[in-house]
Amino acid sequence: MPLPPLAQVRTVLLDWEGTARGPRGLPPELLSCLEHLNRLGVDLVILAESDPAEVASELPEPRGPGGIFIASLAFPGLLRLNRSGTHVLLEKPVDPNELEAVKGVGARVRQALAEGGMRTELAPFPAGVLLNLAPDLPTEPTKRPHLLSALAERLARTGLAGLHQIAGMVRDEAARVGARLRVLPELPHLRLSLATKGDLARLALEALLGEDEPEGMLTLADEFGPLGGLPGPDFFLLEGLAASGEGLAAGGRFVFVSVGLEPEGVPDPVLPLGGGPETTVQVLRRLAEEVRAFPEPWPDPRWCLTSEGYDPNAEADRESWFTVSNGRMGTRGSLEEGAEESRPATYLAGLFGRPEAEGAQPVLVPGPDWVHLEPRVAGERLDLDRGSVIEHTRVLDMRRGILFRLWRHRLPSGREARFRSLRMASLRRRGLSLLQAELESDSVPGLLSDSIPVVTLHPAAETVRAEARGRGVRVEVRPRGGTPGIFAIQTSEEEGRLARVLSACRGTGPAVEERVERELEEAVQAGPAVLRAEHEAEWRRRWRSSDIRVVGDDRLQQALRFALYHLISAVDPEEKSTSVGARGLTGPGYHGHVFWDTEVFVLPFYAFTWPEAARALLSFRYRTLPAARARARRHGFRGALYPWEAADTGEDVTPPTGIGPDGKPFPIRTGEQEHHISADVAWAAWFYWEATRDEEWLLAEGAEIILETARFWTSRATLGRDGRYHIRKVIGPDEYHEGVTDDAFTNAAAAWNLRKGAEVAELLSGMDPAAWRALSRRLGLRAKELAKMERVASGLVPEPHPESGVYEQFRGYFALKDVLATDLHERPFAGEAVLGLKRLARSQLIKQADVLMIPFLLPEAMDDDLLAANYAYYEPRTCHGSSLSPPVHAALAARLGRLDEALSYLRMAASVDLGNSMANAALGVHLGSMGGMWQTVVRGFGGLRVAEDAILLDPKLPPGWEELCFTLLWRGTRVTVKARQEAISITLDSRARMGVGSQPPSLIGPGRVTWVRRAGAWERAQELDRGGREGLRDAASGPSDPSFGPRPSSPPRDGAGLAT
Amino acid sequence: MGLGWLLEPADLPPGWSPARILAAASQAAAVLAVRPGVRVPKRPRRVIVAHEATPLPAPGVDLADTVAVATGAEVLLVHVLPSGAGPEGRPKPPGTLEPPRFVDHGHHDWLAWRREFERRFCHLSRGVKATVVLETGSPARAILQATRHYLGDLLILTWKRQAAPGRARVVRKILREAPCPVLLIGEETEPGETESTWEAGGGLLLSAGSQGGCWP
Repeated sequence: MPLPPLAQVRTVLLDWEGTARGPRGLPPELLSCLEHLNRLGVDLVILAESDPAEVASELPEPRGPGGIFIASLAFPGLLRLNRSGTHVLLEKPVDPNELEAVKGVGARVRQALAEGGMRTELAPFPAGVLLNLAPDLPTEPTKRPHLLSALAERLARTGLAGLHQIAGMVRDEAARVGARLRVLPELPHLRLSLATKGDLARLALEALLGEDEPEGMLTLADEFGPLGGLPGPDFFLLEGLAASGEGLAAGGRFVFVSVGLEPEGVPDPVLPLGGGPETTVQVLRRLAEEVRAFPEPWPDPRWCLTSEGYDPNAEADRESWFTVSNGRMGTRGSLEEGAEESRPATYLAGLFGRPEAEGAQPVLVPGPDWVHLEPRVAGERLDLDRGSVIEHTRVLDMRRGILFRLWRHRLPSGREARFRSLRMASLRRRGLSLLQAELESDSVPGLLSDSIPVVTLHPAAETVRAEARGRGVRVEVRPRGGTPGIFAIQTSEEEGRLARVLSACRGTGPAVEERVERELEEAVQAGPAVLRAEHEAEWRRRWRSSDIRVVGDDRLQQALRFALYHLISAVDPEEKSTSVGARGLTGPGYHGHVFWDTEVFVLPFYAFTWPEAARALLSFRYRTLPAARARARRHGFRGALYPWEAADTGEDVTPPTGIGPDGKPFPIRTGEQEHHISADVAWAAWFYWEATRDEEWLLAEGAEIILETARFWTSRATLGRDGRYHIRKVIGPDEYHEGVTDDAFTNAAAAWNLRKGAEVAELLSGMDPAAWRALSRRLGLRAKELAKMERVASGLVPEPHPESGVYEQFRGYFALKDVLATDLHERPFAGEAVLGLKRLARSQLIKQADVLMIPFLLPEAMDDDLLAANYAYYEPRTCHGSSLSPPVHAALAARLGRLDEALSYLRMAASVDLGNSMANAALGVHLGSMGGMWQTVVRGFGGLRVAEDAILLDPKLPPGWEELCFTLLWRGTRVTVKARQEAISITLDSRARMGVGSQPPSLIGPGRVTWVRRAGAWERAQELDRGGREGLRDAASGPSDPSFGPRPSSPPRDGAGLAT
Repeated sequence: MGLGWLLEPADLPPGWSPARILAAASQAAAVLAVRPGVRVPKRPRRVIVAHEATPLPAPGVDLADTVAVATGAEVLLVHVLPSGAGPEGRPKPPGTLEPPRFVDHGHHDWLAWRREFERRFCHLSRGVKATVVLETGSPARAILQATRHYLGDLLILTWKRQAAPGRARVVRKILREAPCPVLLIGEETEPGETESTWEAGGGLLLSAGSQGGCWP
């Protein structure tokens, strides 16, 4: 069958009548084909003319990760089939006035034909009328050529030149009465319809994909070609998909197949196969085979990170980049066969051990190297260092969360070996990871594995016990002073094809062991294709909520997706006992410890795209509140003082000393003094609350975090002789100055935390008085203490200089030696390496934003003038010695309209891992900087801000960006933002209060609203409901939606007979 | 088998200047230069090696290793981050390990950088103790400062053998001010081309390809 490759197809649009269902009903194999595709994660959209309930009754019950949808002209909208039946996903209601107009057109055309001596019948359907031109002729599809000639004869007798002449009559009549309709030849009918299958297809794709770029799509229909001079009814599928935003321009990703007779040929790019429903079955079977086979990465560099060749010195960096993780387990992208430079590791979240060395801090203990293989061809070992590499490519397919490797090698014997592998950490079954590999040489299969995975004893592990079990191995890693991890690995290998599954869990006891074994067994039963399909479907869901699309800067697009890929990979929303370390599960860097990076830089991404994940991270802080309380007590304070570095227990694990760049030991005081972490955690809790209004969580966990951290600050601040409150001996985000008094950021964050404490108390007492009484009693909180929170907050607020507007970073800062970082060294640079810690402390040089962290976290704390003054002062004094500094400056520069500068800082952030500018990407990627990149784009360039009950957007796109598109979840509403330089469209799936620019927020949606910028101000231009119908248009704004209209579609082939 | 010799002051030609040393060194695989007045210890305790953190062959590290094995000396690798240098400096070969420009958590990040440096560039014999130090400033001054600060007994420098006037300014300055003997090795010297041992009498024996030496 001359079909193009279908392996990338993940959506099938299947015309029902004539394509799937023939005169003899459904072919018997069709149902099993559809079931199979559903299990392989392929979405199926049925495009029908008949009653969707009848269609649904013939379809299989969906049991796999794919979705089954029905779009029918008999019910203009989209239904989803699930185990309990169908439910309406989207409705495109028909305007009764328009419907009446169509009926009127039909009646008048019928009358005109009758006057000419032609008998017709008219039957209504929900979106128009069917005009039967030959009620007495047979209608089977197989008889259509005959039908067409019989009809032509009959028309000629009536003096009509052909169908297009009747269509012309319809068009003229429709134009006369202002009716918008399409004429579809469905012989012997002409369907006069307000909707086409193309409209339904577009609707379905918008509902399925939103603003996502579609993956491969296969459209199967039977009437693409013209009939009687009119475009066939399925022609509008081409048109509808072109208008969906990607369409035919997708260049080969969309495959159109006709199984119909197509007597007058088919338009490009339709492949005419003929054969009716039997051919449909064959095509779908072929699709299933290709999807099931060893896949290829998605062929789009904006979605893939590719490494060609092999560079020993960069190998460990690549392995961090190429980590596959699902937040519960992460496997570095190491070479399966191993190499001297390779640093393989698989981490299980929370598997911390304490090395025996005195004063050693807990570290993440790796599990077995379960991806290790020993590939051999005819006894010869495959090794990058032996023989010569013909091709070696690794591709991280970020869209699907799969790492691919393709390796062609000339062995010392002269044989050519072909190896390929893929690996993934299942996003659906988080206890599982999958490795598949194939090896052959001259069509002879190789041998991939004849040994158990490599197991080593880590210094922080007490024991590692490996035990062979059947075709697998079970490994128990028992860390020193931590909870054990169980790893069960099963391998199957046949004819040079290997599939290996890892099932792992942290915990101990029979229940954990049983779970690990059961999940392993279920995965083996399901097989690799199903595991991949589920995983891909879950990644699709995640990208739909998280993707950022930048049109006009492909390089940055790739870097942004790299950041989002790792952010999505880092968290397990079901796991509440661990948090996300600064390097996630991508390497041993920072020992897996958790810093403020998680709450301030990473969590906002989750709060707005994946609230369950944000909640899980906050639950870790709730679970470790007792440790934070104990820590505050040890320091002589009340409330909760969170640790600067945390591992699994919530104890502070910051080491007391380190070795500096000069090789000399230096004291580490961050653990002792960097107390803003407590306010940072409270800020994250409030941020989550603002984004979600999750009352249950606020009552159960959030309020307690905010109140206990606020309580900490009441005891941490002291009343000075000047009548103001002061916080002494702290380290702010700028860590070059230690033991300072009244650090601007710490004071501002503390004051904010204190106010939120009082506010939460008031909120809870109104929301659930009984719950508030119980909580306040449990915490021993009295009105007096709440009043003190307000009092201390008022006494703490730092004040800007009355003339310059600049905040002094801490008391005495302005008296320090004024040195500009820009004069000292090309930025970014590590200040301690260039100047030394002592000289830094005597200068005004700062490591990263400190005063500027105030507007980053609390935008309302500085208006644009104040921000501009502080930015102008502090930015040149900042070394950007932290990877967290560039995204903060990028976001603030964007707010100030310094767009080139913002873009430059965003690129600097992107270089942290991809450019290895920290020289330690080998130890894992830097999630804080990645979260900061999301904030730069969404909060900076998108101008997202949260008001009391609304979100505000004020997009400012840097030069070169044609379009910026991102999605947010705002209190249960999905908000898709598409911004261009002069226009912004916002699509909502329910109602929400939103504002753009300086316009006051208003309640909008569901549907799409467009604003255009005129004379520097945003004006609302158009509002469409979810069905795409116009709901509101600002009369003064002229033609609507100048920038987001559908792309021009292909004109009808015959150019005649279409009334539009 | 090369000639090699044990450096004895009596064997050396009279007259000392950096230019003369460089002229000799440009013809040699390696040259040991000892500034007038500088003491040559009987047994070195610390050998300083200036390292550019590139994966290019590092004969200096090999020599330092030989000396360390023979004498038990500690090896100190000094990498210099030139002041004012930015990411767009001289092109570096792939595999170069620049010092980190971002240091989020100094105690983690500096340790990580040093370990990576050692992993890539310090291929020393078992038992040889090595330390990596990052200095900033003008390269000559920074190397001299580290040599003084860490009480180096021998400083090993790799150079490009370009002795024309105006070239090798860093080497010239170091030769003029070094507080200890300086061993200059040509950049293209192949590993093994130069062997060295430290003799109990207080000197460095160069062999196999070594052609010259200078002594006050």
